[in-house]
Amino acid sequence: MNNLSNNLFSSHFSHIYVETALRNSASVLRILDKFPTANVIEIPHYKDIFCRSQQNFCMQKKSPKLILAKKEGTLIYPGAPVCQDFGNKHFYYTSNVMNCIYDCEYCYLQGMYSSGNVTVFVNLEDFFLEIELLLQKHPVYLCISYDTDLLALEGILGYCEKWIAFAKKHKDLTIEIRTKSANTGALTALEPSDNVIFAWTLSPDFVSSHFEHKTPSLNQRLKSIKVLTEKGHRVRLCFDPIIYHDTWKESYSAFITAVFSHVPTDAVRDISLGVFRVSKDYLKRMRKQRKDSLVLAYPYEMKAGVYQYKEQLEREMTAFMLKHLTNHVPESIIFQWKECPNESNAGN
Amino acid sequence: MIYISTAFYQEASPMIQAFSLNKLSQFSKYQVFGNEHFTLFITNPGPIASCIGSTYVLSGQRPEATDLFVNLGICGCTDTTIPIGTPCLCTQINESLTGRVFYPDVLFSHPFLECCLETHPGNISDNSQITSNAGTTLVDCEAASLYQSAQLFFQIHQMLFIKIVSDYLEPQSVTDIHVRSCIECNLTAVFQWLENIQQSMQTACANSLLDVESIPEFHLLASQLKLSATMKAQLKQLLNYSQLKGKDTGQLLSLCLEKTAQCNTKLEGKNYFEQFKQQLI
Repeated sequence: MNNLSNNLFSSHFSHIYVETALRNSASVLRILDKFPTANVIEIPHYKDIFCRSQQNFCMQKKSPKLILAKKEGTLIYPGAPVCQDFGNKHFYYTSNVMNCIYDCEYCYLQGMYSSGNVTVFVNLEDFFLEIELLLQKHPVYLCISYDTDLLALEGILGYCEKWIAFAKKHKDLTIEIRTKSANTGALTALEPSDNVIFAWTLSPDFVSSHFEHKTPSLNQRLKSIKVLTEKGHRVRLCFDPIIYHDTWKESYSAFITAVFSHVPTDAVRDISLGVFRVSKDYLKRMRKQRKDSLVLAYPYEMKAGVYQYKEQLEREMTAFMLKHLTNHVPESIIFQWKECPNESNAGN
Repeated sequence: MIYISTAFYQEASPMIQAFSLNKLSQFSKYQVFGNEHFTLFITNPGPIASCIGSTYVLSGQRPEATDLFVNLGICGCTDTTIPIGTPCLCTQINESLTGRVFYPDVLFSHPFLECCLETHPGNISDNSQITSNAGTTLVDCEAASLYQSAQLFFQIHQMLFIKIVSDYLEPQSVTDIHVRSCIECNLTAVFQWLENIQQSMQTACANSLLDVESIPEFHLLASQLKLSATMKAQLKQLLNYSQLKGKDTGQLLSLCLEKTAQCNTKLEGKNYFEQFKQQLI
């Protein structure tokens, strides 16, 4: 029997759902080893859990379960227009893992997915095969940590290490590992590589403490970045999304100063800059689930199916950030999100 | 509110006595008992009866985010190492007739054994009648259909299926006294746990936002400014935002009503609305 604990929500991954066909596979057994007390429930297909109707994303975030599955069909997707391509012509993304262990109030995942559980696709070799087929046609720029935070899950999955080893063998492949994690322990032995980009999403303390639940603090993230940059890595800094709040100017000004007091400018490969934006359908869902979220309740304006700040405010915030960032780095390495898709907009 | 579904009066009577539940006369087709904390209904056994009964009762209610739906009853068990009287939380429910499988959300720590349950249209008396390969341990006649009907009214984390082992597929051995005893022995453990869950959910769902739609001044202002449906929805969103920022929404609305009392046209209304918007942001 399970013991009743003072905090009534079960621990993370107290239950692990495994597709029956994978039950005895090496990759699944490796993951299950990390959770010896978890209840393992076999299921025919991951969607039997992930796509159930009447799920509550936010409640499930309090006690998320793990689902281990095999991904079939399309594994690599063309990059979305709302995402920055950093001037790369052949921009793709992939989702080895659906959902994140963090719980940011503004995150689009709660609008996109009906479940707060984490689904891990264990057939990594199939993803690698599909990329190799693409690489036969052209170079590939691939974001591997969009719908999750792979570095935060590194201790359980070890996927970053596998992807980095794969990228090492394929010089025409560039991968971006986006994260809010401070978990750089596993990566300190890694040699710097031009085709592996670590990209940290950074926010001022106010935003991080109010809206980015369960994430490492700004300070912890900056320390992690410093550890990597001291080993010769060049990192991408993502100031995206920029979130409006009453004292945003003071917050972001102090924030940029703090960032560059930790990160040497020559270790900054490039910067991604973008104000908060989200699709209309996602925001509707997100607001329904988080009625008391200040960031979601803001009266955004809709343009072409995307909710964003009023144009004047957006321009003001972007100009402010550019002005402060260019005190430290050249404008040519700052890539801004723009409404028009597929425009390379560095230095705009 | 905790909604409890049972199949027989014998399953219900220990709870009716323990919580002093009164018969609710507004329900004429099924026996329903309740007080301010519980609504207990007896559906009669079988998948169709439980589906109809639960839908009949729940349709008249408006379950809230912190309410629970509990199917509490006896079951048969294929595993003779599980003692009679053991309470089990069902984490997988198979529907033998259709082969469909349902997975209740297991968000809360609990003191019960977790089991896989199979719902049959009638009593079964041997293992060979189990249709699923999924390591089914428990057998009943209601859970799968209750899961499907309760889903119309609750989210899956609010739905709990607790079964007490009454026999090892020997339904003929189950007497009224035995049923009552199985339920009585587990009342304290089950209901203490349910109370704790509700408290956890109340904390998790705590939301100090006043429903703007319930403020008469909101509708008055929308009418006064001659707002379209879209703009009225925008006004509601603005007021939610201002509440979260700690502003006194009622006061703001009253001030705005005063200032815009002479609004005569839609264009004037639109202009006032824009001004009000700037104030609130």
